[in-house]
Amino acid sequence: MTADAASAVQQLFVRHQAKVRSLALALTSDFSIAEDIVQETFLTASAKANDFRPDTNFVAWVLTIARLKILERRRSDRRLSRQVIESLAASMAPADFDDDRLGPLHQCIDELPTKSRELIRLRYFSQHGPGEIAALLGRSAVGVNAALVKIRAALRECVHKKMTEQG
Amino acid sequence: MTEALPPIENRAATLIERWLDETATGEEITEMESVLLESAAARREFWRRAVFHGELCETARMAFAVLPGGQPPVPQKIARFSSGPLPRTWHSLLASGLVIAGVSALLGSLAASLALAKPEPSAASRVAWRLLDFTGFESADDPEANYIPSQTGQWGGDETTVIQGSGQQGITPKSGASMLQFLSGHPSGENYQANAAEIWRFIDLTPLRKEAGGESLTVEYSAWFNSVRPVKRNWPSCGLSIVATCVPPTEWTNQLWEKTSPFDHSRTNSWQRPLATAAGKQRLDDDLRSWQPVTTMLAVPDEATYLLLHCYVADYSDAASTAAFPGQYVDDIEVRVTTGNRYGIGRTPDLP
Repeated sequence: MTADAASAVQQLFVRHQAKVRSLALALTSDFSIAEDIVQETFLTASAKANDFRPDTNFVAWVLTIARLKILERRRSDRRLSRQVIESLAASMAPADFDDDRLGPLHQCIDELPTKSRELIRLRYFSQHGPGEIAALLGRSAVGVNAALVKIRAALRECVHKKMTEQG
Repeated sequence: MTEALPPIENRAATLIERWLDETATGEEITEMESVLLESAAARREFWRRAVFHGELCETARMAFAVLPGGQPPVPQKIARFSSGPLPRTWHSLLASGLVIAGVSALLGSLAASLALAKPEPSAASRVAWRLLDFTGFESADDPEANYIPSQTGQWGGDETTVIQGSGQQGITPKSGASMLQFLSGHPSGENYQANAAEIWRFIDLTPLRKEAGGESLTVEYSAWFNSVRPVKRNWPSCGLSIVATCVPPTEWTNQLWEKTSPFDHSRTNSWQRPLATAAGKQRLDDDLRSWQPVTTMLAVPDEATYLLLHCYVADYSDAASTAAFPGQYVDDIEVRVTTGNRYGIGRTPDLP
């Protein structure tokens, strides 16, 4: 592994780490495990930097590494089967991860009503589960679950509108 | 992106959401895996939701990171009925509220006239069935707080609770000893200017049609609403709607729940488009002693096999939220089905 190759891969990884995190979160549904996967993927990508050809798709390459990391450390109590992970991976496209959505999404979060924004903050910034959020707010877990589903749907719609308006 | 989903993918969407929020049971994970393996569309839906989930995680780091002292605030228990700061667009809220007040005044007078009017039934029609008890929630458990109900005969939707006894916040039941309180809502309306709390219920028309012996059906749907005194510049409203459909409860998409305009035909795929709808709406006043009626009626198309009842309150104040709804109540929900086109609804003139 050359220093230049490792440095180049690491820079690319920093640029695309959100995609790796999204994949890890999607296939593990656990924030802390997803972060571990991101770190392990970074280390493996750095170690295998010489294997990456600059004229190929970096995102596809690094997501393959991440997927293998996920398969290696599936927990016994909550996991997707290898068959499902492989099937999902086959239907995934690097273009699914669009960084252009992040700006409009930030705006949409800012436009949420205060209490809805608080739910998003507790779930995605503080990384509390719905049960913890329910305990903090004195609400039922079922109500918090339903609220998160609806807020996410409203945010998807908002992002879609803003992206359409931007053209 | 806003297309309605076929049934298998609709169920997958529910399971995927549970998976992403780490609330799926072992059985639900197994079911989700089975659906994902069977359906390419379900796998696409998985990525659509999962990637967005990841984007939320990423964006939240930026959206909530800049705070006094650089530290996130300690999450505090939010008082149920605390009022928050005025929303940024309070001036547009006021403007839209004035428009709604004007429209609601018209609707309110119409609703009142419908409630008071007692047209005589024609000789060819008869009162067939009173499907929902007029006393309202006297013996019922709290409606299930989750998604659209997947079977007939039960309320489901946003979180609500049956209040029994002497009442609450100065409001007493319309009749009997119980009333239903809306507890939580979700963002709705253009640019999230409002929060709405909704409940839904399916009615199977098949047994009624057998009893009716081929005669057409007319549905009258009514309820009474009350509200705590609204926050200044807040214009809470209430409403009912009926949907006639031939799509069974298990095949209604959760996106009905998620849509801000659920019966907007331009956004609903043809296979799920309602056959007919009717709606009534009213602005809630600030008199705790007065219950306000909303009534709507629908001539049921002959091909409809189900009715979907919708009951909601909407609130424009910042105090209304998914964590706490400030205090709107419904009681004495009634559904009456009569045979024949009792009031000549939708009757076309005789052709020469």
